[in-house]
Amino acid sequence: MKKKYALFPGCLMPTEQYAYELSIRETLPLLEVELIDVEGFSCCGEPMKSVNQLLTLYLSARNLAIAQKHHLDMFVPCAMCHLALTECQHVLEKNPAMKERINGMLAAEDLTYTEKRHIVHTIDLLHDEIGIEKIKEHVKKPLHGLKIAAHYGCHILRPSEIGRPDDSENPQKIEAILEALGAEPINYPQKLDCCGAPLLANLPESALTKTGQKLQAIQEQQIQGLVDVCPWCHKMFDGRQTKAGETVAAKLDVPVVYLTQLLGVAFGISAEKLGLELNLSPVEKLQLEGAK
Amino acid sequence: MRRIGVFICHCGINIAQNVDVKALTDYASHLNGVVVAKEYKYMCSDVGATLIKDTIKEFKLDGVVIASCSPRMHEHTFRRVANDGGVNPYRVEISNIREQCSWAHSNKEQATEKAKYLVRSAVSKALSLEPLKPSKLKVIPEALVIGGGIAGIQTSLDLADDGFKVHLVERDPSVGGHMAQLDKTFPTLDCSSCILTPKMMEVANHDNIELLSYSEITSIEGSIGNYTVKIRKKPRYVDVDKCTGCGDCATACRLKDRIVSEFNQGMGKRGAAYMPFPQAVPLKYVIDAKKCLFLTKGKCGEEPLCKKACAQDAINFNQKEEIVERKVGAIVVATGYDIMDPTIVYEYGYDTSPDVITTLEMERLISSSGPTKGEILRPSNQQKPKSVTFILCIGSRDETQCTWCCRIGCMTALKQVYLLREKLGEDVEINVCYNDLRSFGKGYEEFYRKVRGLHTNMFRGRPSEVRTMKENLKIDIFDTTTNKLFEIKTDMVVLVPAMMPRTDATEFARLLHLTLSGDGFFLEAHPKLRPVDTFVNGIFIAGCCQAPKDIQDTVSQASAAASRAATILSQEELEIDPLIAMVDEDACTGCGICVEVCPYEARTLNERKRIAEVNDALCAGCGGCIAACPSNASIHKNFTKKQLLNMVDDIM
Amino acid sequence: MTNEKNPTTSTAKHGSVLVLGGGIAGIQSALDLADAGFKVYLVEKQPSIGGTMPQLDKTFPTNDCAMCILAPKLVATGRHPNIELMTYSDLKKIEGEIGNFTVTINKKARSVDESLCNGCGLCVEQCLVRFKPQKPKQYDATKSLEKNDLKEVDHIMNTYGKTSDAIIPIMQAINEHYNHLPKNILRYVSQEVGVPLAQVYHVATFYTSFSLKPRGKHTIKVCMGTACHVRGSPRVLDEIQRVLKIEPGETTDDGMFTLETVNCLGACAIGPVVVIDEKYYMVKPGEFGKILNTITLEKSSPLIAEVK
Repeated sequence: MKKKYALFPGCLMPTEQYAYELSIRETLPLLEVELIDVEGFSCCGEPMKSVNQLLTLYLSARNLAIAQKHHLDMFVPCAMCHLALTECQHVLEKNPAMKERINGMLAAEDLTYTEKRHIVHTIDLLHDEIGIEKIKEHVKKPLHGLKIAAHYGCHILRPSEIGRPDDSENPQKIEAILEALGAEPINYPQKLDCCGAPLLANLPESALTKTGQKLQAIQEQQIQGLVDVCPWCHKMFDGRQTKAGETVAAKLDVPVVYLTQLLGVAFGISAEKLGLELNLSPVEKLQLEGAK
Repeated sequence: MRRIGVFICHCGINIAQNVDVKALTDYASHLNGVVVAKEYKYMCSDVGATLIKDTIKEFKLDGVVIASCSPRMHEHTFRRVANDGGVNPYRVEISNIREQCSWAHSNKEQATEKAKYLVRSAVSKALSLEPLKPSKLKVIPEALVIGGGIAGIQTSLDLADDGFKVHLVERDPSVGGHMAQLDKTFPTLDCSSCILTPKMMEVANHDNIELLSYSEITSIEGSIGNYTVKIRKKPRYVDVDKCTGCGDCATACRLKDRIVSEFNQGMGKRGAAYMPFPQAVPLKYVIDAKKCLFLTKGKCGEEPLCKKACAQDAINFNQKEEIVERKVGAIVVATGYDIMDPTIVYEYGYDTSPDVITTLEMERLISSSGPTKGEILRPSNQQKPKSVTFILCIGSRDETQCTWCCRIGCMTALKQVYLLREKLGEDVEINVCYNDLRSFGKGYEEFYRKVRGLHTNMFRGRPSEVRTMKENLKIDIFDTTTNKLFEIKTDMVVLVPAMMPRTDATEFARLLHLTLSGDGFFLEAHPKLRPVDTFVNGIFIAGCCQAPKDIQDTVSQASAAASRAATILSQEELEIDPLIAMVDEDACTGCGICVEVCPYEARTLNERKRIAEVNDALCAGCGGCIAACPSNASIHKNFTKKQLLNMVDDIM
Repeated sequence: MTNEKNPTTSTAKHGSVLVLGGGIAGIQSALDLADAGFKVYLVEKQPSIGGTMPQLDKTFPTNDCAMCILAPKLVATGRHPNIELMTYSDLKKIEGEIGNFTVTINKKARSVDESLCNGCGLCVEQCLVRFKPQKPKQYDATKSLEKNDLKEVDHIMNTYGKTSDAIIPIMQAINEHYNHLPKNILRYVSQEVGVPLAQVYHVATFYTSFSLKPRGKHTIKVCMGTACHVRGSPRVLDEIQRVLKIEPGETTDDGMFTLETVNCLGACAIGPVVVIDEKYYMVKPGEFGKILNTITLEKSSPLIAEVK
């Protein structure tokens, strides 16, 4: 049974993190997920949250209202967007006065938010909605011998009170998916550490320190690589790895891939289609089949 | 011709402010059946009581109406006062013109009108009240104490010293409970065993105490003054009359040191034949039926080594469980507590590192009779730790786990800091991460200051996780007293877990019809006025099964429960409240619905007569059967439908 | 059925117990013992049992009204056939040993016959001293003064008279003599003149010429008026603050200087003006140090300034 979702791309994925989008569009249709591109989606507002909460609420509510207009559930691959939209929904449901105010603002575009939207991220879409069994069915080239670590990031796990795709203290869904792909997920003490992205704008050195420290720890534990599920985390670990290495005075050489990229490789899709050459980190070290 | 007296209370200004009591009194005095109406400021006081008594005598009253606060406050008092004056105590009707009138309304005129209706209906009820007589029940002067920890032990000794026979039931092979697992007790640092074992010995040897160890309660029937208790004595597979406690069987046991020891909180091992701890009372061995090879598989090598080793021939694999019955007049429940399993709070690393332990486990390490003979060694490598960190409130005061404070956590941690410092000297760094330091009791503050002075690093904050690194453990903590973020690298972490009700508390409560409070502990009848009573007459609670507390408060409560139980046991007869259900035998069809509905098991069906019967001692007057009876045969004495409908008519 | 049950019809007699103290603890002990068949003598030193609990409005954590939950126990105690209440009594002597004590109780005189009193309250309404305020023992301020100070202050007060009109001149004289208004002396003045201490403080804190803290030997006043301001008096003030290390209103640790600011001294022509011990100086920014040195060397000061 095909599942339909409005794809909410956010800002970072379509402008910089193309590999994520490429791998999503290659793999999900195989799992009978139809992604609808909706006109009018804008920024979710999360980057402004610390400066103007009303703006963030308005922007998120606007996107929810657009999805409502099209009667679609939302698939949100970016963890920051996922938190913004979920939190906005939580606030509006609990605070009728705010809901009214926001709807007043949305009225200018003939939009309205009245019903809760079902919002999923890559993790729960794959693990809960599609299911491990179905993923296993499609594995043609199991990733045997791949000792890889999962990075969940923060926005996808907290705050737990509003409901997040995985447990905030001991998340295991990415590991379950990796096992289904035949890989060997490795547990490590720094698993729940942040990538540093939210600090990038105001405290870039602190941001890169966090990125560098985590990569350094992974490197020291002889783990082959890192898997992530958010364009911001990937931007830090993959895109800023060299700079992070300079910040923590370490030579970093850790392959970083999107979960959906690994999914594609296991499904037998070519590396080019999955955007693997767009990764700035040395993914060739993983010696993935189909990759150069 | 009935002669009713109406007494209107001002309740200070609680009633008088919103109800015109003079007008009300005047109105009442003209009601049908009322010969006199009086008003006074505090009817519940000595003066008010005397007023009622004197008025009864002067006007030869045969019924009394009190218009005052809720009957929940003083109904019992007013009944006694009326009785003293010569009126049957059940011909007293209380009209609540405070909570249901004065306190609920602000318009004085309307409130007074309402009060008039209320009093009028109360008078009409008073006119129809029957002069009931309480029935009497003989009291068995023996007590049942459930639980052989320090609470149960203290209660048993107090009652036994009072001269009553006590049956003490303990489900473990030995009495002593959690206190026996402790090394020292705060704040005096008395050796726990030293102060406990004399009491344990006394309990075993007291003429008035029957100790039923390794036994469980299977059923309790009856009511206050007359309970019938069935107890299952579990088989030890050791003849206690022959066993001398020498220990040869345990030394010989094929499974020696292969089974996790519960007493040592999983830090040590025992065999299938074992003594729970060296000072156990009774000092008799027991064979673990779930692990013993002979009992589970039918054979143990060539032959069971324990049987071979025992010089007294005390091993008896043919022992069976035995159900015994005892009759008692009062019951005290002292079943104690369990600690929370920290596995639930994954982030503190209890599951991921062997060096993360609970305070109870640390207590066993400290104890010289423990698995390491009192040496403090890291479970991971059996080396002395160079740094130990205590984290308080694991699971306590936590919205997602136990919302309550465990009360003993702070003092336990401080005590262990002191003992560690004593054992390891200055070679160990000791850190304490706390929320609030609660050192509330006598001598506690002094103890806290002493421990602070022992080079203890005190951090006020809550670490979000204990990270298991290769060689040690890492903790990040933000200290709110210095506003600094600290990183602690430590060899051992001791978690102070929440104190919880026993895992089977809910099931056990059902056996005795006990109520549980929201947190799962047994509910006391009133936290201030009746802290050891329960809602079931004749059953009392003491110790941590009621709420977390330290040993001092446990012992006080245990003595209090004994005192309360003694007030029942020292009487030859008890009066039973007559405000209960009765059966109209002519109307009863014997359908049996009331029997199913009764939560107190007070209803039975007389098969021969095919009508229902009420056990006066058990009936609590809840009214369930009254509502359920399809034939109007179930009647609540002095609360009949006719009486209540008359009251409604009067109000309308 | 939540109130106390177990009405006692006990005919058992086991012995007797003395309970000392009629608060909630004593009451509960007495009731439990009496219900168990013991004769209880409940001795309480106050005229009524109850203790502290009746003084409370509500009790935590249930917010029960304290009196509402206590009253049934009070009445039960009063009416229990096994309890003999001895209120307004205290313990004189205990002799004997466990199981056989002989106790001597002192029953204080109520001056009211308990058997006749019905609690009507008429005697209270008629009481002659009912409305006289019961003042607590007064604090005698005389005790806190040294002999010399006592003599001095008495002399001042006698000069101006011990009336409320004379408060200001009295305080001026004291301020002049002691260089400030010491607290214990103000207390003494208040006591002797019969003016409430709060009022004395009211006056003391209103006028800037009064000081509650000891003043320095030399007072430095910096003029902050308009003319002086445009000539740089803020910079002068800054400099003085830097040199002396105090702020306006404060006195140096060695007790030499007190610094103050004033609004206008009417000597604009020689601004920026600084008055030191009633001497007027024109102090340009940067020159305070020089002036300061001359002051500490001087013993007396003529009234009109030296310039520069």
